[in-house]
Amino acid sequence: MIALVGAPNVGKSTLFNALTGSRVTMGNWPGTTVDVARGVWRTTRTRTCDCETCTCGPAASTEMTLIDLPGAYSLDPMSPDEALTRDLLVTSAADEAPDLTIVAVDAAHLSRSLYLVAQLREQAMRVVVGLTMVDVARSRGIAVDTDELASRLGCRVVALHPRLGRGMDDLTVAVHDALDEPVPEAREITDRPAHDLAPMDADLVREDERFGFIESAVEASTGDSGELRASLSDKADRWLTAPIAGPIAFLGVMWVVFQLTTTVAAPLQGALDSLFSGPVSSGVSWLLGVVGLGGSWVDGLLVDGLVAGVGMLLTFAPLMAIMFVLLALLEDSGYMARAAVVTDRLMRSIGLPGRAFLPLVVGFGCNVPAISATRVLPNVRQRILTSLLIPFTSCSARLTVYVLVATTFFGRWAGTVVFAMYLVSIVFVVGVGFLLRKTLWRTMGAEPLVLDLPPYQRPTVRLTASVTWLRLKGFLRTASGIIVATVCAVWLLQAIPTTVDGSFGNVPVENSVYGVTAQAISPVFAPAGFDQWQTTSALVVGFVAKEAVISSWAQTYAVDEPTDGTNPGTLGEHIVADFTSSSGGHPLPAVMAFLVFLLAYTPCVATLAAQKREIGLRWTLFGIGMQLVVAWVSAVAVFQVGRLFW
Amino acid sequence: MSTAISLASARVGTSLTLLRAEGSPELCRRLSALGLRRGARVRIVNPTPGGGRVISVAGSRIAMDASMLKRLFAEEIPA
Repeated sequence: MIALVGAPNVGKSTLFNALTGSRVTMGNWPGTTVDVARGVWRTTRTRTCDCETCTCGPAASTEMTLIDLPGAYSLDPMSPDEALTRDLLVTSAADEAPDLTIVAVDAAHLSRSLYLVAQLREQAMRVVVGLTMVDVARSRGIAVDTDELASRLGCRVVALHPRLGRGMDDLTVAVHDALDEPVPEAREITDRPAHDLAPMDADLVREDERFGFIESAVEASTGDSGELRASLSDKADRWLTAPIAGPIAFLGVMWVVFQLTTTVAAPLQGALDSLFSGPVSSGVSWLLGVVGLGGSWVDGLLVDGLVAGVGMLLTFAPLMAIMFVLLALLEDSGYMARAAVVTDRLMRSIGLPGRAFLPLVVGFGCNVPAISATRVLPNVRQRILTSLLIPFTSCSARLTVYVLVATTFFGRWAGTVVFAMYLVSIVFVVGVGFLLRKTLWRTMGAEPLVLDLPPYQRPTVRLTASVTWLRLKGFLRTASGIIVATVCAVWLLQAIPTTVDGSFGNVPVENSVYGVTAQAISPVFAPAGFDQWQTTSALVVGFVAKEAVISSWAQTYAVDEPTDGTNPGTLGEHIVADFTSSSGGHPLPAVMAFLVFLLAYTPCVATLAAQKREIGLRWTLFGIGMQLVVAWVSAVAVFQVGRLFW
Repeated sequence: MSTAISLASARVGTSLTLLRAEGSPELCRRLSALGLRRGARVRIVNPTPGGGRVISVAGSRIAMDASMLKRLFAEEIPA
C-alpha cells in the first residue's frame, strides 16, 4: 500500500490520476469525514540490473494500492485532513501504515513543499519525492538538481510531468527499488531542543532546525534566490483580486455559472423529460397492453410511479454534470481561490465563508446542483451550514408557482410580488444563517483569511472528465433510491381508495388516502389563512417536485392545467374562491403567507437526496424540521399581520 | 533603526522582513508552513476587496484579510 501526500496545489491529484487512470474509488476514510481516493497503480516492473548479459526474468506486472491523502502542508494536525495524514503515516501500527510514501513536491516552491518531507524523514520510513511543476519552475529560472537534492534529503527524488505523462517510469523504478530495500533510517537531527524548554519554544526550535535542513538542501540543489518573477498569471492576479476589478470579474464568472446551470441545462432537461413522459411511458404502457395489463393499476404504478421517478432522476443528470464540470474547472484553473478572496469580506459579514457565494448563487437556479457545489468549502461545518441555507434560495421551479399565483391575485403588481419573493429569499438566507451562527454554529470560528493563491493552470480534459463522471455516478446512485421511492409512494397514496366507489388505481384524488391525509393536515394552516385541502395537497406534491405543484393543483379541482403560466384560467378562479373563503375575506395576506410558506418549507426530494449525500441523513432531517418551523411561523406571521391591513 | 509595524500599515509595494506573528500556536504553525516565519522576506503586492492584501513570500502569493495582517509584525527593508 502506497500513500500519496503533499501540500495543496502541487499537482498531487494530477499525479494520482496519471498513475491510477480510471481505477479509482472515492470515499470517506473509515471513522472520519475526510474524503480519500483509493486507486490501483498497475506497473510493469523493469528491474534496474547491472548484468552484462541480462539474466533477469521477464518484466513482471504488479498492482499496488495507491491512496491519495488530502493536501497537507505538514504533519501538524491543524485540520481533520492533516490529522488523518499524521495518523496514517506516523502513529498507526506497522501493518496499517503504508509501505512507502510518495511526496509530491512543487519544484517552483521547493522550501515550502519540502517541510513535509523534512518531518517524514524524522521517522524511519520509505519516502520517494515526486517533483512536480518542473516546467513552471524552469520558466521562472529555477533548475533543480535532483541527484543533489536526493542526497541532501536522504531519499530518492524523481522529476515528473504528470500532465504529459513523463517521468512515470522513473517513478516506478524508484518506488520498486525503494520497496526492495529495507526501511531507511531517520535523518539526523542536528539541533534538538533542550529538555527544559516550554513546548511552544521547543516547537520553534524544531521548526527552525527543519527549515535549516530544507534551506541547505534547496540551496545546494538549485540556483534560485527565491524572488518572485512577474509572470502573466501575476499580472492577471493584480486585476482579479483588486478591490474593484476583482468583484466585477467575479460577478461575470458567477453570471456564466448561473446561465449554464439554467439556460443551457434547461433544454437538455426538457428533452429528457419529454423522452420519459413520451416515448418511454408509451412504450411501457404498450408492453403492458400486450401482456394484458394495460390500463390497470400495474400500468399506473409502472408508468406514473417507476418511469416517472426514474425520468425525474435522469433529468437532473445533465444539470449535475454541468455543475460538476464547472466546479472542476473553477477549482483546477485556480480561479476559485481568487473568488474566495473577493467574496470574503461580504460573506463574512453575514457569517458565512467566502466560498459559500458560489453554491448560493447556483441555488437560485436549482437547489440540487447547489448542494453539490458546497464541496468548494474546505470545512465540513461550513458545508453543512451552507447546505442547510441553500433550500432558502428560491429556485426556478418555485418561480412557476409564484407567477401563476401572483397573476391570479395581483394582476398588474404580479411582477413586483415575484421580485419581493426573491428579496424574502435573501432575507431568509441571511436571517437563518445569522440564527444558526449564533446558536449551533457558535463555536465555528471565523478564521482570519490566509489563502495561498495557486498558480493558474489549464485544467486537463481527462482529469475534469474523470472527476465529473465519478461524482455524477455517486449522485445518481444515492439519489435514485430516494427519488424513485418517493414518486412511487405518492402514486400509491393517490391510488388507494378510502371509499367504496373507487377501485385501486382509479380513484378521484379527494377520496384517496392521499386526499384524506391532505384534508387531515390542512387545519394546520388555518392560522396562516390557507387551510383548503387542495392547497395543502399542492404543497405536499411540492415536496416531491416544485414543478409538479401546478399540474397537481389542477388535478385536485379536476380542471385542466393552464397552458400558459400567466393566464390562470379556470384553475385561477378556483384558487381565488378557495383563498377568499379560507382566509375569512382576506385573500391577499393569505396568498402572501402561502407564497412565503412555499418558499421556505422544504426543498424538493431531489434536493433532499443531494443533501443526504453531502451532509448525511441526520442533518438533512434537521434541515427539514427547521425549514417547516421557519416556514410555518413566517406564514402565520405574514397572514396575521397582513390581514390587519388588507 | 526601523521599528516594527504591522503588515496592515505597510504600504503596497514595500518589502519587509517578518519579525513575529500574534496568534495561537496552530495559526503560527500554519503560517510557518506557508513560509511566513521569523526572518522571511515579504512584499506587499496589491490590495484586495475589504481591506486585505496579497503578499508575496518565498516565491508564492498569499491573500490575507485585514485582521490577519494586523497580527503580523515586520520591519521595513531599507530601499
